[in-house]
Amino acid sequence: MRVALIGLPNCGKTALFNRLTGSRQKVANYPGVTVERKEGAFADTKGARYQLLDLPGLYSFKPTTLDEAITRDVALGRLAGEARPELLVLVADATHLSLSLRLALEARRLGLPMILAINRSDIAKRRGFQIDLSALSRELGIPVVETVATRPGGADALVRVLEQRGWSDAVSLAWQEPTADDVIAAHREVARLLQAAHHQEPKRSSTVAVADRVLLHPFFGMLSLAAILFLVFQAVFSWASGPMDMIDAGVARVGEVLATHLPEGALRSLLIDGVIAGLGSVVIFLPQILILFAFILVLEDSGYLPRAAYLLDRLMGSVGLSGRAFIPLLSSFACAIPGIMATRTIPSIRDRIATIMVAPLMTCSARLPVYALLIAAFIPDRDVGIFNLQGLVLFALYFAGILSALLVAYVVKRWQGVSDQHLLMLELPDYQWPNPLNLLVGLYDRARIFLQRVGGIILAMVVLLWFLSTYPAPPAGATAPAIEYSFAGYIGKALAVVLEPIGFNWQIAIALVPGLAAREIAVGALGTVYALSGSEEAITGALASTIAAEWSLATALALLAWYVFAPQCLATLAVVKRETGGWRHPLIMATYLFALAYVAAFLTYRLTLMLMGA
Amino acid sequence: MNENLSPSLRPLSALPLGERSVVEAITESAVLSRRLLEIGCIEGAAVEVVAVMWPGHDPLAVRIGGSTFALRRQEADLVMVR
Repeated sequence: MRVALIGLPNCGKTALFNRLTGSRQKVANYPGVTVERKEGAFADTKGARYQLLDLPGLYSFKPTTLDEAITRDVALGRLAGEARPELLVLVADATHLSLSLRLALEARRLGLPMILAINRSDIAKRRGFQIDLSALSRELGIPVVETVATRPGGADALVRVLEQRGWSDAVSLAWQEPTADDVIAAHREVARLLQAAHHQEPKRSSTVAVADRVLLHPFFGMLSLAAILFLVFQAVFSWASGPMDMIDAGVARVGEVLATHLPEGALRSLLIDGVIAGLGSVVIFLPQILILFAFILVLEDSGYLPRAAYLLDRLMGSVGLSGRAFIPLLSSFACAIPGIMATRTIPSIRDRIATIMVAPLMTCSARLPVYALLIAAFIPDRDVGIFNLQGLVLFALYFAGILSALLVAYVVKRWQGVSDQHLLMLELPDYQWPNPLNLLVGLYDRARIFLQRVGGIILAMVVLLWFLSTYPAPPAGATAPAIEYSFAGYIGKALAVVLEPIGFNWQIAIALVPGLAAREIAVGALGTVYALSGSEEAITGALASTIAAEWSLATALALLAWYVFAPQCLATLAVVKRETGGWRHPLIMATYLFALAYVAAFLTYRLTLMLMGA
Repeated sequence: MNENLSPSLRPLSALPLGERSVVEAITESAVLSRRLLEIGCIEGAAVEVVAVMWPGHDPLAVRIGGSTFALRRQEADLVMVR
């Protein structure tokens, strides 16, 4: 049976989805659009199976964002290629029930059977919430249950209703978009329903009120936001080092075992110089990526993110972006692709385009391996006051990306001319403790996606690169390392002509090409290139010490500056094309990013040389 | 909806921090007023400004009914309160 969860944003819908389906989830996109489609499966105690769809949150069935339009179209069975759900579960938030109930009244006209799940009832009850479930159910004419998605077994009441087929068929009505008068009438009806069900509204949490007095304060709020972001970057470096050392040692061990057991030849070189050196240098960054994601998930789950959007709305407004752009842009720190998809919650098309155009300037996690490698190789690991110097440099790189995003957004908005009516109207949900299940499911997803990339595209590119770097074999009597005579050697040296003014050598030039497919491949590619150049350390995984010995500081800094802009990510450009419906924006994006990267690397290289010479 | 506003009405954006009031009317506006209705900003709804950003008193965090919303000043200007 196909069941869909609908509800307001932040009603705990996704937590309920995770509670019901656990890790049996499939994340994809709706056909033809890039709104994330989350589907999972579960069975009741009698063994009946359910396909559960987590629809994007919405305030109304008269959509103002693309996310909301998707939910409406799926619920009406109007989205081509998506089967209409047979049953809706409307997830309501007990801590502010009336908005959810208004949505339920609108949803009733969709002509689908529905169950109302009043979620977060535990928190609400602690604050004096009361409701007569059977009275509400009678008044609404649909089953009403309480759920606590954050607690094991918290969805049992819902599953019981499913098991007993405890809903009645919906009255089939012709769908009509609700008018403003309908909305007002629905609010009045909700007030009546709540009174009939002896609803006792929960008191406002005093903890939330006190926390907001600080966290939404113009000065202390901003200070807290800066502190939180800073903590994230420090943690990415200091907490990850233990697990990274372990992965490093593991990779080195595998390399050694293979080296002692495999006979000399092409297979040995492919496995050790290609696969182990290439993949090993990427896999090592898994702990850092997971720590970054853990922070983003915790901030999201705790209800803090919209508050950050509130704090930054003015600042972002000054360059023409909406505070709503903050959440897509923060997601872009993980990866620009989900970030660009998340811009679908921005109602104004101009704001959306501007946000999409700057999303790749947010330092995505695929750049983290490159930053981390270069920082570890060139920036001394020492404390400056209470801060770690490496963490400071990382913070500066992220900051450079943000600053340039603001500048680019300003230019884009100036260029677009007139601005639309702005809409912030962002809900600030009550704070809550992050739910460990959500966190685990989210991290598991991230780890899986990362390792799939490692095993898929990155492996393929690394093998291809090994091939290009190994053949043709050097002529007899050659003195330089074999790679210099290979295809890759020639390609790299040809590219190096263009890249030489910004301080890149031919090894970097080779690594930048497969980096087009995924930025972090550049690291794997450097691993392979240096391994084939005969560097013992690169083979054992210690790429950092190899490049520390081979490159000048100016080259390393120039490469860091290049990666702040790093135009090379084909997947991002493809999503931009799909989202903006043409080649225009992706082409502009690729051009401006490439130009900025080149200029930034050039200036960094030359300035460093000048300062070092002085 | 907003004809004959009595002079004692003021926009929500002018409500002092922490003072509670009640929505009297919403000024019509193409996109904004509809969304305001949907988030519960209807006549008779209890409102309170819980935070205000500097500079320019924009945006504001407003308690509407049982929920809190961040509103731009432009949006809060449309809500007339007692």
